[in-house]
Amino acid sequence: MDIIVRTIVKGLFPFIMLFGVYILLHGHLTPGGSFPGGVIIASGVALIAISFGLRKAERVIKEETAHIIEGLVALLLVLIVLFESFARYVLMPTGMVFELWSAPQVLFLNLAGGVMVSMALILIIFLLMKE
Amino acid sequence: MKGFLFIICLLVLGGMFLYVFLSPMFGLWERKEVANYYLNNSLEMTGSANLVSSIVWDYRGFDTLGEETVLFTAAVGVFTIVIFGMKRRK
Repeated sequence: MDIIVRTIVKGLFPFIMLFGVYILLHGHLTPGGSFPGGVIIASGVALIAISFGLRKAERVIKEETAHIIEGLVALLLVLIVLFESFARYVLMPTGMVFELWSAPQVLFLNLAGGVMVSMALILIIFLLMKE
Repeated sequence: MKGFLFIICLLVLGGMFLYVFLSPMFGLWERKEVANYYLNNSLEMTGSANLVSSIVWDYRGFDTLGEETVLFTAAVGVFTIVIFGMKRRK
């Protein structure tokens, strides 16, 4: 791609990742949640893949690693939802409102769902670019 | 005839959208018991300040789990199609 696009993406990439992680971590306090956060993270990787090529993007996260992470996180998500009452009342009781640890169950489900969304989108982008 | 049907469908859809958007203004929302229940009790029950997040991941967690399953299936489907296409081309 153009050198302008490359320079902008190189400078913007860490901030896009930081913003995505922020939205994931504060999903139960501020607007946002798992889907917007995951899509923002995936869009950062997609920018790298479009402007620098697939090989540079695989330096951020490899395709095999994305497969493994997606499968494990899907398993974790199903386990949390299945043993929902145990996780809510024993593992992570609710705390003070407006703190980060105020609703740990929503927080962890947000994190797992966001990681799953981002890995799925990254996988789709990688595979379609490889095709 | 087709244009007539199109205009009727557009009017019906627009009417539904307007009804949903304007119903809180005219007090029609008072009858929706589920919405009021969520608004009143979600902060104490889940502890999450974001009402949308608490509904999506706590009250309707199974629904969102199905949504994630859809995404997972999309990734697996793209993977399958691309891998089989590559094998066939060789």
